[in-house]
Amino acid sequence: MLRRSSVLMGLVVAALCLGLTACATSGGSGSGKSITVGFINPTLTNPYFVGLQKGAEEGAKQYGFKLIKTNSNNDAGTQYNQVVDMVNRQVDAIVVSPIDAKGIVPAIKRANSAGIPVFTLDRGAAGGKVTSKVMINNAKAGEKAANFIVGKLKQRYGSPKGNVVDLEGLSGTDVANEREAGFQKVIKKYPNIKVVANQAADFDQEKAFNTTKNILQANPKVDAIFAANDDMAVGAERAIGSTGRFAPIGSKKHIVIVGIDGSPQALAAIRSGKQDATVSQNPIREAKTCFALVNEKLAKKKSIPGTSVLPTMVITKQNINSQKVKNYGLWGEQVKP
Amino acid sequence: MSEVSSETTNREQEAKPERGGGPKEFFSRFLTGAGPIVVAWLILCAILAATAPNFLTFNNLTQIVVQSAVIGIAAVGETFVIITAGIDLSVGSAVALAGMLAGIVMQGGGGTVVGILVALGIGTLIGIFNGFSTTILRITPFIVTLAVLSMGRGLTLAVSNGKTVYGFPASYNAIGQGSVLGVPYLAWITLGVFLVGYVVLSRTVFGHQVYAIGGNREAARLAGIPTRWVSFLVYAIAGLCSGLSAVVLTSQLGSALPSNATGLELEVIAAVVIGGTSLFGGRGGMGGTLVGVLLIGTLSNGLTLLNVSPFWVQFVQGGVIFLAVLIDALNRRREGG
Repeated sequence: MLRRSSVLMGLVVAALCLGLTACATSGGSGSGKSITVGFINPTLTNPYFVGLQKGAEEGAKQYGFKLIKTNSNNDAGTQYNQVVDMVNRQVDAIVVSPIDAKGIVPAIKRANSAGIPVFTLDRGAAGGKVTSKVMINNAKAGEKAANFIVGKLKQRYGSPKGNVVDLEGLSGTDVANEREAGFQKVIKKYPNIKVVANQAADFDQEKAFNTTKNILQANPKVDAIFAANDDMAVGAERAIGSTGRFAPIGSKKHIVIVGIDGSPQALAAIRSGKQDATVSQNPIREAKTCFALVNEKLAKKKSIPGTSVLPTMVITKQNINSQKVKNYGLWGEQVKP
Repeated sequence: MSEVSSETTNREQEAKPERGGGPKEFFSRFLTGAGPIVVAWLILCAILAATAPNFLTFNNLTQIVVQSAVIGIAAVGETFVIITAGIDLSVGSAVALAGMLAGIVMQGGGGTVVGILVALGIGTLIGIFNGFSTTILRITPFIVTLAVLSMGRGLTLAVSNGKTVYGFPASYNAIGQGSVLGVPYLAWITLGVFLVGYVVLSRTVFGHQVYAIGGNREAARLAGIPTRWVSFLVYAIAGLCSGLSAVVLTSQLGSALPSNATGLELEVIAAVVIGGTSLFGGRGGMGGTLVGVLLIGTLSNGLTLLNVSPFWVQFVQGGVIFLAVLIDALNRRREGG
């Protein structure tokens, strides 16, 4: 009885593994000297990181790298294991977007001791030797969003005043902390602007939807909402719609919404007039910039900058079709399936 | 009472030869009921050895055991719980909370030993709470541990303010990062915990009582087994194991994240069930769990080495779990078990 089922089980696993190798994108051993890059993405459930992966794929193709991609499902332990997997596979370079600046340090040290250069994307590391990091200034992005809201409130009341809601990102992440700090830094300068609610919606659309519904229930007068990412901005827009508080842009009752990222849904919402603005970054360009640096360092053996800070851009309905925005890149419209 | 317990665990007894010497007998007893899974795992290894670069290196193989440490140690505790027909869903949160409090204590100047004791103590306390609620308050284990899952994660966020805690003593981090005789400490610890778990479960009166309760709680009670006390202890053991898992995870990362081990309980339960332990209680064993844990670890390691598209990895992992359990179910039906 045991033997028959074992054979059956074996056959099933064998069939499955054949399927696996078939859907492996570029498994097998390397051909001679091509450079292999291990790319470790924290998640694929957020469009920003889908953009990073797309940029990594384009960059690898451009420079003829072999690319090994993984997704850590937002778990720092998984991410650590994946870095070690890459070290054991003896890749030539590791590109990682750390889930946590401190939690990634032992993994980077493992790569360091194996002599494999580490590049970080979007988020930095608190220790270990990072060859080069590519990121945006998240505090600046928060400031830009705050300044946009201040400008709109000035238009509405003649002076900067009003009630503002602040939807924070996932507590404990550097990105959430920095964006929040940037936002607060600007808003604090205006004593007549009141932050009537300050809640963490964890960068999550569903959470932002529910949180905003509660906030709107408690606050009959809200002039503007700052969302630390676009997924939360979109959630807030749905909450405004479902509670009957929607009024078109230009109306006195309109609730101004600003997000950060430039995600596909946000761009659509900006085009349709539900969202006022997003402070866009460009993950595709960020990843490609990083891969260009890998190429400079490994193929051309040149020295490269330790840090590259890429610009952000405020995108609104007015400028979304402009040449300037086109040059910057609407990544959200490039990652759409 | 030992008469009845051996009667209700008839099946295990039958499959095991009476006390024999030799390592062969040891392994056949150790792996009772896990036959198909062992074969499946060996075939998976053979296929990966043939197709994945650097799979069959010493470093990579020990890395698989190390990667399995967090799930594996927690799975030892979960095996006890599930054999009594209980369930512990609080594992992930218990690991996060125990690790976080240990981290806070060490950041505040506590030494390595204090940190370890705090982690083990908090884990055990959570287990005691689960055990008390299920046995004395008589709440269904599923509901109790689901509530504790949420409370534990909430407490983790509250005590940490959502921030990552780091800066542990070097000797603490060495647990997760050091090795002896070329084999990482974590591999020794994991295998050691499994061995202890096996001995307690299969070689002690307590272990027999655990099987007896899962086989038929009423019969066990009538036979004079202190069913409540044994059930209580089983949850405490699971908590202790979660505490040890927390030490493993935080020493590996050199930091404690509030998001640590989110969803770990599902992987742990999957490993236990893959290993042939029945969710209805009364049958299964530690050896099967070890192989279940290694199967999951090997799979995620292999998928990275093979460079399977990250969009497909989770599906494939789920598919393998489904197949493993399906084959096991078919096998048991044929046995008439």
